[in-house]
Amino acid sequence: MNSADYMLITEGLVKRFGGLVAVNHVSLKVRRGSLTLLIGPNGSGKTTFINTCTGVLKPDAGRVIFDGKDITGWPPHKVCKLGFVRTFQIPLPFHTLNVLENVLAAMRSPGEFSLKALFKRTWLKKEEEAIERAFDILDMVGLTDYWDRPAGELSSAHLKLLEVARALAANAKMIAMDEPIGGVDPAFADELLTKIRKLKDKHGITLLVVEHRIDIVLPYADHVYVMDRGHLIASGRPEEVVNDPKVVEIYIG
Amino acid sequence: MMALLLFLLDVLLFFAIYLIVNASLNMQLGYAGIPNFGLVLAVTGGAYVVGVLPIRLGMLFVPVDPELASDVVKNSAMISLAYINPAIAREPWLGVLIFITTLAAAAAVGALLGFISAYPAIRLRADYLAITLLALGEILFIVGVGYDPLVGGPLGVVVPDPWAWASSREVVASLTIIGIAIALFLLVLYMTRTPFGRALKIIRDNEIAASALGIDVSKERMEVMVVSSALCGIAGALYAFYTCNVCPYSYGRFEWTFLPWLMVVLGGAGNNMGVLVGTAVFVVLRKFIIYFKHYLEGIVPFDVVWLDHIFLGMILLLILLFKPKGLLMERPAITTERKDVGAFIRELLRRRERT
Repeated sequence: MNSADYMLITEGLVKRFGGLVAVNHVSLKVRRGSLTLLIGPNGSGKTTFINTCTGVLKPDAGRVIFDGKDITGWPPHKVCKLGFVRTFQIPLPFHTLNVLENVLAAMRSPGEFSLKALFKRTWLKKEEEAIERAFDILDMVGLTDYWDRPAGELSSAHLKLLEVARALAANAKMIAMDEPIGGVDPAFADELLTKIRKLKDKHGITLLVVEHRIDIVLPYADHVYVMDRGHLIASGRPEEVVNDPKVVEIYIG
Repeated sequence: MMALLLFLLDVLLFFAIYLIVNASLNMQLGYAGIPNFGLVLAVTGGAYVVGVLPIRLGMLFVPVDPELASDVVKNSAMISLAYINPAIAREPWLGVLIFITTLAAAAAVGALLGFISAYPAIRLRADYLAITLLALGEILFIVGVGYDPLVGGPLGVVVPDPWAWASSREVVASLTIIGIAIALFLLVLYMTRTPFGRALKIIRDNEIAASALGIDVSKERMEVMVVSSALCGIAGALYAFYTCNVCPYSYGRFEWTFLPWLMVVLGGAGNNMGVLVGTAVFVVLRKFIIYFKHYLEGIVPFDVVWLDHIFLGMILLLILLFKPKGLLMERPAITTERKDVGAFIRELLRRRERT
């Protein structure tokens, strides 16, 4: 298969913390438009892997290629501008701002430059367009009614939706989701995943989802990678992976 | 009657100058989360500009005895008082010219010092940053005291009075400075409710999430340091003009770093109105102590000169114990509360309801 079919390719990615090799020569590929699942027990290096791909951490070795561009070691804001956005395991809302402003936070405005901020004709029009788009996005994730609430007051399920909304607002081509259903009750988890899957199909977004609750997420995945202690130990279609003896061993012991 | 008026003007003047410095600190501390313990740096920078520039500007227009002119710093008092001030008294435009040019230069020097302070500010965090900025803030004081040609060393220099033309100089000077302070405070109010202000709050609330959403954290932090230090530069210049002299000892960390911090913490960081209240309460209380402390002579069991410091320490302790968030709670200015943006949102919501 042609490498242009893949949105994200990592080659031999390594991240060390002192003597611990948290990510050990991980090479994986995420197909365009797919929902790829990265599973593994706690401490297997999944979150570190995402952090290393999106520039929050600098890799010690290996390459990260996003949408055909080598982005190894780029700072997060540049990675984001290319359309590779991540969400966080523990949602990180901007507490003091309301929901609408949290979404606006993901859209860049000329008024963020202090000298331009002085002259509102340079940014007010853009701000209004951004607000219209933000409301459309809030509609999609179902948070419109909460637009003027401080983000610090939202429930954990709503915070997860806010994370998705911000990623959409950042014009994501690909979203790396770190445990999107962590801390969410199972009934709502299915609703959330259905919503995410729908948004992905509608906007042609590629998703890389990190989870350890495979029972809930597996049915939604196109492809699955399994990590254990920093290594990639299995890869394949969901039904293949769950029957892989190595995977059964690390999960059931 | 006149004495009361002068007392009021004096209080208002200090209020005005500290309002500028505190609004600047609030933008850095309350909005961007940068603990600038080197606030004094840009204030001193602005004041030194007043020590250097106005007298030389004046000499461009006013012929001065060449013997005096050969050492401007040493003869600053003679040149300013005997030559330039009388010239300004005759032709006020010269005073205005000197005043405006110098303020612009002071803002530029402040901005430059802010740019230098941004170097640690985009690399360090929290305590480490505070310590580094505290040290950085001392530099200009040491240079000013040790290098006489700058502002005359420990003795300082005398500065031409841009209000020498006014018959009641104190009144005109105070009112000018108060006017400028109000304008700059409104400017800060405005800035914090633009996308620039939003970006600052986003970074403060969560730096990692901010950069993951595409904000260039280093750039925004640098910008806020430059903008707010320019304001501090102007404040320092205004104070120097008002006092008509520049002496490095007038620009210490106590007056221009610790007191502003105290006032911002007192009022409530992250709330522009809190800064207004904190500054007002503090300046008034402090002036009262300074004016009336001698009545307590013999009543308190220590020398009354310490009342000032005891009072400041007590305020800080009481606030941190009972109202750690300040007199007014944090209430960030947000863009969606602006009149124009708010109206747009209401209109948008109405339109969406219809469809």
